[in-house]
Amino acid sequence: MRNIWTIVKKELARVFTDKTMIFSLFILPPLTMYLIYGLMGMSAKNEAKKINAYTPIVYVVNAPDTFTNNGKQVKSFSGVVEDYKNLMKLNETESLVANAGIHYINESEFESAKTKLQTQEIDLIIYFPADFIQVVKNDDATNKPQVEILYNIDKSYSESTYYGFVGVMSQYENSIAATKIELEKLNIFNEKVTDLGDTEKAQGRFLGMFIPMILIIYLFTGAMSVGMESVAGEKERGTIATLLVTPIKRSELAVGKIISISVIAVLSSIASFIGLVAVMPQFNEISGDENLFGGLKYQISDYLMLFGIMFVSVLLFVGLVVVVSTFSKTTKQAGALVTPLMLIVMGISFFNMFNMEVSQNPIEYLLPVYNIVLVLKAIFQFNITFVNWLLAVFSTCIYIGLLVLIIQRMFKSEKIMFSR
Amino acid sequence: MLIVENITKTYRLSKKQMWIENSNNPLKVAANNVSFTVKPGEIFGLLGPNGAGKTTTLRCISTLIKPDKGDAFIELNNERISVVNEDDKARGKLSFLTSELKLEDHFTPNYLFNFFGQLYGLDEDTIAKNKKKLFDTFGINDFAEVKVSQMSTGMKQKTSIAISLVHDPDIIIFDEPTNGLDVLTARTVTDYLQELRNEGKTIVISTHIMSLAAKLCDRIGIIIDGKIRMVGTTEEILEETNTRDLDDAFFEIFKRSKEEDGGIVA
Ligand SMILES: Nc1ncnc2c1ncn2[C@@H]1O[C@H](COP(=O)(O)OP(=O)(O)O)[C@@H](O)[C@H]1O
Ligand SMILES: [Mg+2]
Repeated sequence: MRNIWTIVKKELARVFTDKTMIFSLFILPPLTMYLIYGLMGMSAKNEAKKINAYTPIVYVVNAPDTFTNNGKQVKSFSGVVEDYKNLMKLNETESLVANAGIHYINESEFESAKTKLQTQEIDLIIYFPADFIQVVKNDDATNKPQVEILYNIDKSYSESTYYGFVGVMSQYENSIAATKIELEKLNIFNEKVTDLGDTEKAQGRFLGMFIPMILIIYLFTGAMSVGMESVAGEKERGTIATLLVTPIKRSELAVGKIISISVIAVLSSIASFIGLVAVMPQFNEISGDENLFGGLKYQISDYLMLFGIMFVSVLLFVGLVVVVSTFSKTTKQAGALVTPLMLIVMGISFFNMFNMEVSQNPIEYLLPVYNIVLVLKAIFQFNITFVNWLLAVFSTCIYIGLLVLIIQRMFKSEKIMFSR
Repeated sequence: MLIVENITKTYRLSKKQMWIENSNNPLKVAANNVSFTVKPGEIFGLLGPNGAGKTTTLRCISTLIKPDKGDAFIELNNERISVVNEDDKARGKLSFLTSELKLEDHFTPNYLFNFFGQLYGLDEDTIAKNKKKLFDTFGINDFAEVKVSQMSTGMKQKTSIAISLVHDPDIIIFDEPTNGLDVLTARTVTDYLQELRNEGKTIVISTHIMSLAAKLCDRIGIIIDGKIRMVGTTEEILEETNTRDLDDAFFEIFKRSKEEDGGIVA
């Protein structure tokens, strides 16, 4: 025990008295994390400005006129739109709705409007069924009028125009609801949203999907730089052999190395974690959807689970890196062997990056590395269950234990530790 | 007392090594049935040319590698420790110095001495006491706070020697201890080895320098091609080979060994 502690102290002294190492392990990672996401946030802000300055063309089919319901007057749709625009101007809120050129057309022009949307001449179609007013008046919960909204993802700002008009639509819906007898029936009509474009664009709000992958890369590179230096580096420079002639047990040396590398890698990832938390508010700018990645919406339990999985991931990566670098004779060789390992780990984290669905299958939460990706994803999407988290953490601990046993065996091998 | 019995070590050569050794046999017997005994208060010298198997033999004795066959025993206070079976224990009793064991660049002699002292299980007072003695002897105090990376070869070697003796061991195994040192530093080292002998330590050194062996060692084992060819004091070896100095004696033994092994004398 005492020997392990002596080794750990020496390894920590090695890092914490070296300015270059402190910089590359504890300052650079959170800084780059902050800068990358900060820049993304900034460009998202610029993009938002451009969107708000844009003048979209919107066609409204069969816009309902003024009508009375239960003796109360409902404003015409065009009236609601004008009110909305005026409110925006009054509040000096930048919005593309305020600039929108709105054309009111009738049923017969619907098809040609669709063609225009497809050929990207216009940005949005709002289609009211011809019998909209009648169906609203019938007030039948099983037969609500269906309002169709069409946009084209291929045309820049078409989707943003749709998001802009979501506010107008709910304003209109509220104005009808106010004429109802039972006030709680707020849902007056259903909306059917259609995208006439055919490419699936990676939208800004999906950027959150990068987080698990970026985290894994940060954790892995942290473990990699310390692990390679501390084992393969010492082998290469012949300094580990000096330790091998002292009476400490090889297993103590192995455990001391693993602990110290882990401590440093964990500290390095805490630094990255701080960088990530600091930049969390930027995700709102990037995502444009506060429900998805608004930092404040995460609960303490989410943060704890995030920290827990990051912790065991670092240890797993340390184990993997130490196995490889114990096997190597030089840091160069270790680098050459670690690179494919890192690519595999990255590949796994890339694997279902664009897959919005997170699997809930418990078996998948037992697969090494893959379970870490799943848990990270699930946490960021509010989809994590405690049982799945526990499965992932527990199985990862078992993998770590196996790696420690392998490393101890390797440290006892003369061929591996002392050959030329 | 150190008793070396029939140590045999065979290396498996890689293709590159086979090419360097100019051999098409992938097996290289680096130490072949090496046996000798060193008593307390004695310096034993393994004398042989480069590649004779000196380092290999010393590595086996100091537990860094395991011999394929044979063993070495450390006898102290009626206790007999096998370096093969009780390697952790044996390491606590011996000191091994060889050029392949390096000190970490980032640290100072002061830090490293304390660090290794702790690994040998010493308490602070003992470490301080041993440090004073060794640092004074080798003049390390002047550069005790200089990082290894900024030291000269001589300073490094002195520091290595001091650190290898941190635990005041009974068995001292030094592989080519004066290699690469200037005359003055080399002299400090050999003087200190004699001092240690006078204290009753059991000392083994290896060297390829005849004059060093003749001057420093009480007994010499001549090793050629992995085999010990002759053991004795300088006088005994001169008498046995009927020569007047160790240089001539060595060449005589070299000739005989080639005849024995069926080789041709170069
Ligand atoms: N790790 C090794 N692998 C393969 N061959 C080795 C290894 N170490 C030493 N040898 C070979 O064994 C022989 C003896 O080497 P060594 O013990 O270093 O000799 P010396 O110290 O007397 O110069 C040499 O031929 C050397 O090339
Ligand atoms: Mg040698």
